[in-house]
Amino acid sequence: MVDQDCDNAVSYAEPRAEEAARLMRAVANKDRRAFETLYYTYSPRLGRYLLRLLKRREVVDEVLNDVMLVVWQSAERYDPSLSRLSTWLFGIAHNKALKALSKLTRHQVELSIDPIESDDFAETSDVTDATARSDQHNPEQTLMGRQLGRALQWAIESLSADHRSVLELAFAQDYSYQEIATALDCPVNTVKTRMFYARKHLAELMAHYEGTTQTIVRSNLP
Amino acid sequence: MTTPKNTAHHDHDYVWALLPWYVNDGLSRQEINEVQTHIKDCPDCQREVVRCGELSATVKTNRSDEWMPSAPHFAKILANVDAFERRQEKPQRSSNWIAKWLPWFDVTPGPARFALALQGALVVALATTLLVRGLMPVQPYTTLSNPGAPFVVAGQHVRLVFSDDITEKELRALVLGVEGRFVAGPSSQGVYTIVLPSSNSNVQPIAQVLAQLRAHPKVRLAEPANVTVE
Repeated sequence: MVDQDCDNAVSYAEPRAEEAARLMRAVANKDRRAFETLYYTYSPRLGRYLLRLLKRREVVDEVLNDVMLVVWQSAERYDPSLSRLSTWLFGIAHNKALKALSKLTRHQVELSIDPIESDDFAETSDVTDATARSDQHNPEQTLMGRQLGRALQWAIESLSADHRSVLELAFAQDYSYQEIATALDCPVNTVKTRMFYARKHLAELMAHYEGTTQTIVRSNLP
Repeated sequence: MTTPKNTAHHDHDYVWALLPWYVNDGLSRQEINEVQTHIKDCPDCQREVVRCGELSATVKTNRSDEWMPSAPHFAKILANVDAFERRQEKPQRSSNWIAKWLPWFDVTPGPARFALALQGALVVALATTLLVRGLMPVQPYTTLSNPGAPFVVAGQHVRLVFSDDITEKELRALVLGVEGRFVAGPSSQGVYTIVLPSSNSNVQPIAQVLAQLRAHPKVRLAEPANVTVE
């Protein structure tokens, strides 16, 4: 099931729709071998997605536990005519991740979810928040001597969980905006809006980064 | 990364919003045509396509976010599944029972519910009492008579026949004189049976008692019976 797309990227191929449906029927009939196959097939992608959202491996392990238990309990509810199996699984994982995040934020952990944006493109406060978060990371130290890819990675991690989830599903999982809407259980326009603001925040953060590096370069000039 | 210009028309905003999915090949044929038609003449969108490609590559190649499945982790999941299955098995019977009766209970008026609850409590109390009594050892019911067993009185039995003219007073004095007690009779032949006290140092020998009885003028017969009970 593992494909090497390129030197640096590892992805797990999605089984064909019929194969996925057969797998889920077996799981619904409490076939533990099928359940194990499901786990080894999908958990790398789900785990990566959860890690992107939650940032803590121990929390990811627990949430993935919960996700797999939900799959075991409600496998018969999966309808292959409505969505891909991975979309259904990402939907469960996303909901569990949001619950875990709210629990973590109650414990004052530095993680946050933006409130759901309106569908008009009139948001400004999040950019300021994201920039402020970037300052807490001490970008001068973080970015000095690092390459642009690392800076972009840092910028992505500075985004809110909702924005990270859209980026992850679109770019790492290659989901269409309709599939993301299904997985996140939100309107298509909300997906587009979140993607819009995610890119906008990244633009702000990268501009901040570029400004910082220029300042550092200038200050190092004789 | 650039944002759409404020003066950009609707097509630009529309296409700009689609560019991430243009890069990941997630658009329909028609949407791809629309995007390609627009970006031919839009340098902003051309640059954005390049940036989305960089972003996609960055997200895909971030190996620090890799998560690998493991046998121990799957074992934990199975332990959760087992725990869930056990929980499911136990309450299922009781929940079925409750589910069966709950609708009936819901339509029952409040006072009737109270009466039924009281009645139910009494039935339970009665059943408990009966159960407890059933478990206790049974004690025999004793009476003054025992019709199942033969009438037996301990002592020397003597059969007596009296003359017809003996009075009750004479008869009583005679029997009390030998410390006897009537235990049977009269039979169809007019035979009475008395019992004498068991032998001890204070009691007269049987022969002496018989001699005393036979000496009475209204005694026709005084013979020891074969029954002697100790």
